[in-house]
Order: sequence, then structure tokens, then C-alpha cells
Amino acid sequence: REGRMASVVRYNPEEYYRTTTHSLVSKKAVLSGIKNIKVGGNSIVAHGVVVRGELAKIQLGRFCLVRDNVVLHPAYKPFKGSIAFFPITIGDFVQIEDESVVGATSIGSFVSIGRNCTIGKRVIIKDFVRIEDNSVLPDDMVVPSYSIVSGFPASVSSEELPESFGDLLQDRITSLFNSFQPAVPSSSSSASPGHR
Amino acid sequence: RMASKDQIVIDPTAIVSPEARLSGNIYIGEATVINPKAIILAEGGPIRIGKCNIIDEYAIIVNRPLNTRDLLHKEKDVTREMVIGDANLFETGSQVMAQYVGDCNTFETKSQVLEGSKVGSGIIVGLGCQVPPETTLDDCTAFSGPLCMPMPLASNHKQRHLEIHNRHLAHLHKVKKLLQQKK
Repeated sequence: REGRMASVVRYNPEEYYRTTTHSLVSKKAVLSGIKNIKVGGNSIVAHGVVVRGELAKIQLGRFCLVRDNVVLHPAYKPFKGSIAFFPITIGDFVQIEDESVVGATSIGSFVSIGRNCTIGKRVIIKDFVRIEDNSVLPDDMVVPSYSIVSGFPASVSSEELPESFGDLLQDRITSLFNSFQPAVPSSSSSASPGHR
Repeated sequence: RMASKDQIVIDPTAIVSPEARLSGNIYIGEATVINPKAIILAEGGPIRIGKCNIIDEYAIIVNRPLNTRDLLHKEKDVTREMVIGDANLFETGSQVMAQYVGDCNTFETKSQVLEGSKVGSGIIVGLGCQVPPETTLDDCTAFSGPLCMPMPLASNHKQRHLEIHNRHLAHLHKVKKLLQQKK
């Protein structure tokens, strides 16, 4: 499938690490406990992102776009004289927009989280979900598949997510990733549109 | 105007990340943990932070700058200090501009306590709650929802908070020491 080429966004290649799986991780992001953090292929971790890997394992799937200043902060629960932190597992084709804070324990695939969202502790978000900007999801909320969630406190909208949501999101994320190009063109800069 | 020079005193048992932003006259007490990207600005006066507090990333603690009203009523050389007690948890993105904060409080993600407020002890300010300026928050109350609805907490809440908080703090100290050693 060809991803449409969105307008090219140039980044400064000195500000990003390129992983072996073609992901781009900002040098201005704070990833602590790196051994606990797995980022899938073709993902972007933008500036100012904080990933608290030293608390628990954090795993992102392929084509995850984690935008500026997002925080992935594992939630905890008191457990047998100490506390236990819940790992965070995120699926493929997930977009988390600016300033959102994620305390969820599980986010499925094909999920779009808007700007400035607060995802409470131990939340579970299934596949094919859209979370609108500025939503506040209370602790322990479970979001079923094919939901649109919005509000404070957040609730699942009665409006149905279109069936094409997954395909559209996949298309959008693929083209956003492919149009994220280094500013100084190298010999291989003219990448072909996504054909993975 | 007094020259604003950073005067930051950190207790040797506290752990303050170099990536945190501290500015102004700040005292940080025993065992307090300040995570990277936290922001503490002592603009209108010093900030005194007690012991065993946990301040997460993008938490903002500001002693707001003096405004015209303050300047008119201010006696010379009297500074307006912001005092924070012990064992408080400032979660990600919380903003606290209160004048006094007691002990054993939790400021949940993206909550806001605006200027001039006085926060007691054993309080939970829930996710995203916005407490208006000059508000006094009573002890052992939880505030939740967009309207900051108060709900009284059990009288032993402070002890329960302290138990969990101390475990959290001990874990953070252990983990951060491991990270330090690896470097």
C-alpha cells in the first residue's frame, strides 16, 4: 500500500538518535532505565518526552508517534510491604500528541490520543480508539475497542468510530513518519513513499 | 529590587536531578526526590520544601512574582516565603502556586492549585482539578472532577498515604542510586 506523502517536516539530524529499527528518538527526550524501554520500528519519540523506564518495563510497538513533552509514567499499587509498578505496553500505529500524560498499563493498536490528555493510572485502552484532546481518563478506566473518548471526566461517546478508522490512522501515521526527513539531505534522502 | 541570584540549598540526602529547573532561593529537605524536567521557580520569594517529598517531571512549583498589591503592602525586606511540608507527592504536570502546603498531600497529574492558596495536610487534589486562587483546602479531603468537588477522607488517610509514600520514596532512592552507579 502506498502512503500518501504529507508535506515534508525537516528535523535536525543531530537532535535525534536513529535506532537499528529505523526509529527516531530525540536526544532531548529523557529515557531513564533504557534497558527497560523497547521502541518498535519506525517510531518517533519527540523532544521533551519523558519515559520512566526505571520504574517498570515500557514497550512501544511499530509506527508509534510520541509527540513533544509526552510523559509515559508507569502507575503503581501497594503490594506486599512494598509497591509494584505496572509496565506500560503500547501497540502498533499509536499516536500520542503533545503534552499528554500516560499512566496506562496497556494501550492497544490503532489508537490516537489527542493533545494534553491525562490518561490515569492502570487504564486499559483497547484497539481502534480515538481519545479527543484534553480528555481526562480517571484511574482504572477500561476503554473498549472502537470507542471515541472525550471529556473530563472522560466518557465513551455514543458516536461510533468509523470502520475505516484503522486504515486511515495507519495511512496517516505512515505518511507522517515518511515525511519526517533530516534537514541536511544525504544521498538517500529522497525516500520513496511508505511501502512497508 | 533585590538582585535575583540563585541560592539553592539541597540537603545531602535529597536527590535532585540535574535536568530539573530550579531558580531562585530554594531549600530542599531530607530525602526529597526531584525528577528530571521538574520546574521550581522561587520568583516572588524563597521556597522551602520539606523532607521526603516527591516531585515528578513537569511538575511546576512557583512562588509567584510580587504584583502591585503586594508591593504596596509589603514592608521592606520582608519576603513572601512559600512553605511546603513533608511527604507530599507532586505528580506529572501538577502546578502548585499555593503559599503553604502541609504534609502528606497528593497533587495528581495536571492538577492546579493557584496562587495565594493554603493547602492543609492529608489532601488529594484529583486529576486535572483546578483550585482557584486564595482558596484554603481543609485537611483530609479529596477534590475531584472539573468542579473540584470535595469529599472527606477517612481520618487515618494521612497514615495510609505515608505508608505508600514511604515505599514509593524508598523505591525511587534505590532505583536512582542504581542509575547513578551505572554511570
